[in-house]
Amino acid sequence: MTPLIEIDRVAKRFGPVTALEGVSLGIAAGEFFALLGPSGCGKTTLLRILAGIETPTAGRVRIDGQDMTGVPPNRRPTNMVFQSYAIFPHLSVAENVGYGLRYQGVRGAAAAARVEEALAMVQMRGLGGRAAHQLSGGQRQRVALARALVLRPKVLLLDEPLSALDKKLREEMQVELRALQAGLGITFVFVTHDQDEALALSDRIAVMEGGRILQTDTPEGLYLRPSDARVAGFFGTMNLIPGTVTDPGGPGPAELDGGPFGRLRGLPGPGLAAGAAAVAAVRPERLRIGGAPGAGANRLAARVSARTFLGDRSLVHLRAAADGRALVALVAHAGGAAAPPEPGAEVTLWWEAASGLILSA
Amino acid sequence: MSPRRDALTWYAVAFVAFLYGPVLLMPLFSFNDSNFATFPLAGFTTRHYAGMAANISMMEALRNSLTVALGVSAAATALALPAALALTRHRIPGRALVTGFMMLPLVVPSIVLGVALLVILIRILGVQLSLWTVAAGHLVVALPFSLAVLMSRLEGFDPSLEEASGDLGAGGFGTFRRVTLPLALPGVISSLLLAFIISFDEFVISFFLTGTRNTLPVFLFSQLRFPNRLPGTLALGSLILFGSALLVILTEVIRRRGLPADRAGGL
Repeated sequence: MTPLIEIDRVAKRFGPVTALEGVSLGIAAGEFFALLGPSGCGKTTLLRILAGIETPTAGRVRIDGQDMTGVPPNRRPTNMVFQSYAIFPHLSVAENVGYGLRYQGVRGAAAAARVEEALAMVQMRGLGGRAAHQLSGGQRQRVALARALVLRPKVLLLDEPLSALDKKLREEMQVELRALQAGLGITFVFVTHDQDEALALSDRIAVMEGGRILQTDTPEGLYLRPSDARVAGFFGTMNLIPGTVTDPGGPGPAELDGGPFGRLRGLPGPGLAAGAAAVAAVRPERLRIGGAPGAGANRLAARVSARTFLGDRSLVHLRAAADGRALVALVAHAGGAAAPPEPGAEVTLWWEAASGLILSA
Repeated sequence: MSPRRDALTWYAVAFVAFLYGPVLLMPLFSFNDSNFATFPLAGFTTRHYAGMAANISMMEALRNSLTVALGVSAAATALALPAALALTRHRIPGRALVTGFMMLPLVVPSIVLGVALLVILIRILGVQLSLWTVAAGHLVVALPFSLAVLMSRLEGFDPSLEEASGDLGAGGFGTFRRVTLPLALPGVISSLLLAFIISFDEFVISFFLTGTRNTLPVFLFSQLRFPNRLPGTLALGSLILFGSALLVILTEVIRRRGLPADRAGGL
């Protein structure tokens, strides 16, 4: 099946600045898709190209099989929720939501019914008479959503939709957005710099940096099988130990020469070559402190520098004996396990080869 | 806490008295029952106001001034709005230079402008001097003010409002009519009022470019030779002062009305 949105080698330059270089991506119908990356990585530019607000310097975008080159924003099957929400300040809530209906030939009572339906969808039933400046941040977001969804677009584009909200409201809106998308079956493409938000909301995530896509995968895939050190560092905490590849692995584990850390083994990431720079990567929850390491386990000596009690777990900060590198381990307390070691204690850290990764740097 | 009455307070009082004292003498003398604007006051009268209507040439000058000012106000705003849109909405190469040139009439002395326009109109274009030439001169002076007011207004609101309008299906003109113009309205009104007052006030350029029909400032200047007509001009001056103050207050009220909506739009 061809994807609903096909992005084919799209590049964008603003004068001397390259915002996107040759991005290709397919987004399936009904997907909740995230473009994730730090500010300036080109994610918003890509979204604006999908909306037709920016035109790509090279490459093309097809939506539902139709080439979008030269198609202005007002003739695209996409609608956008802007980062600032862009609520028209001189119009009421109902007028904002109904703004685009006349361009679809919907007027009068039919338009009013559609507006009411859209407001109900975002939990704002009966608030159509409010003036724009009377709305709270969360309400503004709901109005922006309703204003786009009332037009029944094939694709809804959301630019940092939750960044202007406080934490509690953001979590509420995440749940609502997810439910809304599941109920409507509309393809959502949203831009965010917040990994947690991307993980919580999306079916798939494209991680972007410097105008390129580093990896596109499901949240689980990105967390468990990051393609390189940059992606690994982007999601949650990852302990990274640099070295050179001695065995790129194959079916079996790859091996890395970590200098003072000795040989470390882990599941091979893509693009490893013998002699190339790489990192051994292991999540804090996969690190073990003390106990009996297995035969093939990676091990290293470290000193505990601090300990944070988190209830069911403790976060243990350590310094590697080899080079003083900061490491983090997450120790579960379940089942009456031994309390984590005190700060200052010399310990042996270890992890199974299958719990770690060897990734190209 | 009681307000402090230190040296700065007295300075402020003196400052305001210096600014507005002379202006306030005008309405005072306009009600004085004498042909001479001197103290002591001779008694209260409204006869100068009553006589004003009978002064046909003064009324004609007032009408000329109002006509020219209305025309200049509309033309300056209509011409400045597209220019302000272009300069604030598009990445125009040499934008700063263009803006600088457009603002130039602000700093050219009006006497230079007046002479230059006179030479161009008479020697080069061969046009008869009339109220049209006066209006054209006023337009040159009023345009940069209109442009500045409109540009600051257009720069003040979130560009994603216009993008949102396009995204929701509106074409270029639809976006202008339904979003840009309503949001720029306080700026448009300010521009209309400002250009009106500039034109209504303008003396030097009018003096150079006027034909047989005078605008009010030129007429008033010509009346200063006749001392017995002074109270009449004082009465008219007082009315204009009152009207201008009303206009300024109105402009400010409209500007303030525009503000809360902006904050809501910014977020």
